[in-house]
Amino acid sequence: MRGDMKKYGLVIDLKRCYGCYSCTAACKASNNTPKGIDFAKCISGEIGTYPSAQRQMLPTLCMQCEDPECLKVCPTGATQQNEVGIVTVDKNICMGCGYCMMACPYGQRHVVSDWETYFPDAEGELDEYQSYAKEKWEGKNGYGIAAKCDFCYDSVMEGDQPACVKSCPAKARIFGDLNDPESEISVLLRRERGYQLNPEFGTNPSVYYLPAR
Amino acid sequence: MKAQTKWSWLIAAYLFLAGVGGGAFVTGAVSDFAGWSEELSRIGILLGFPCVLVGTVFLIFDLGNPKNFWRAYARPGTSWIARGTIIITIFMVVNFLYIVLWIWPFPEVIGASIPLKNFFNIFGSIFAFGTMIYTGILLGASRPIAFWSTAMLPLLFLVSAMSTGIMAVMLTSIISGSGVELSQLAIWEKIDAQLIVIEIFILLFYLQGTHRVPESRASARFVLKGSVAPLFWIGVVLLGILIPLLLEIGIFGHSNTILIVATTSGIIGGFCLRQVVLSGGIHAPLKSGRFEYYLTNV
Repeated sequence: MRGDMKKYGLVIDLKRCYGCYSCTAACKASNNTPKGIDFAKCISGEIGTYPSAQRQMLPTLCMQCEDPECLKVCPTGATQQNEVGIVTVDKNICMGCGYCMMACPYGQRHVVSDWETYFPDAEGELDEYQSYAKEKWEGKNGYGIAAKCDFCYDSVMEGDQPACVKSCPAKARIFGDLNDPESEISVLLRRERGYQLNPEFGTNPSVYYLPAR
Repeated sequence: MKAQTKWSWLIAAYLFLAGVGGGAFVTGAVSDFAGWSEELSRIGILLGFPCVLVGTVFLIFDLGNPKNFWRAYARPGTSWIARGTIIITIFMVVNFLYIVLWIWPFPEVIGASIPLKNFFNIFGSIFAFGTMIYTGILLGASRPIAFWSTAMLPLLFLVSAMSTGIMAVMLTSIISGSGVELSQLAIWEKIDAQLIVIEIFILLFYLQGTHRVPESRASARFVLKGSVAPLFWIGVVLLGILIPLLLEIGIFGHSNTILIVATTSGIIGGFCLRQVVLSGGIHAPLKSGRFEYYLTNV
């Protein structure tokens, strides 16, 4: 990637995250994901035993790897990486083989077979909010094909920030340009020893974490 | 730790049928090349194409967006689905031409020319080999699933594919009343028994190799003791290995009935093997500092 190009990245400060799931909710509201699908998740982890047990939340999303496994295995060319390092799926090219779901080390590929209502006991049609979400989902993603987080690409291109970043009340998520050494995230990564999840897969994720303690 | 559920029995059926088809073709080609039996050769060549074709139909059924199926050829540089699609397409074309030009409707075209026939035998066998082995490489390219991502899996699938291919040819030759004598099948029975012995060793090494990382240890536990265990012990070990091996080495003598039981059992076992490997696929956990987080959505 050329030096004058932006490469968007995200830093998640685990010291600040207290697991409120705002990112999950904001992502759902923004991307209109179907029931059971979350591009931004928050997973709870535990180690040790009483009295020295520890808990730590881990917010996850697509890591927008520089060398993505999902891109390597995609047989159709539906998976693409754009000029700012964001990995996207072209819904018109994807054939829905699911190979990316198997290959993504971070579990950030999703295939939805159909729209499911949140209120199975309710009678009649979907309510207006669900109908709206369904229509939005079908417009951008659809069924049977791979869907994923794209760092809210459309908003980011308009100079805005991803929904999960804007909504984080603890300011645990910082979004910015990894190629700019003076950007807030580059400085934070140097100062606080940011790390990537599962570096053994060699995908060089653009999402970094700052240690919890 | 949860195993993947996205790739289910449709994919297992595809992996299995691609193997049977490739194995049957090689059985036919070798029977012809070595001059063992022209009838067996015809059966093998005739079985290859339809098995792989039906397998491909299963594969297309599993796609979320089948109308884009033709795009699977687009990225042979990195994706094993694209490479595999090209391999099995060439195999099917060669096999189809072989059938058309040797068996029906134009038997005189190849029948009269031994060099041409050998060309089809050798060229077809190369791509049959590719069809058999790539299914293991395909799963192996999924690096976060350590149970699949091993050099033993392509070997395991290759040997199982060849073995089930031979059994499919033997079974068809008996039940179709083709007039092939048991004595003509004896050589293939021997080869198959040897393949099954090799398969036992590969399976043992395959399972032994799972000790390296926690997720593949979990896969092995899931397969040997967990909810996949009945399919493994009954389907793979009993039906796929013990019954065909014991019957083929002739502990109950040799007869058509015994061979029918042995081959049917072995073929079912071949399918069970693919299903067991698929259902045992567990993703690596996310590692953050000293914490490990297990994925639940794939």
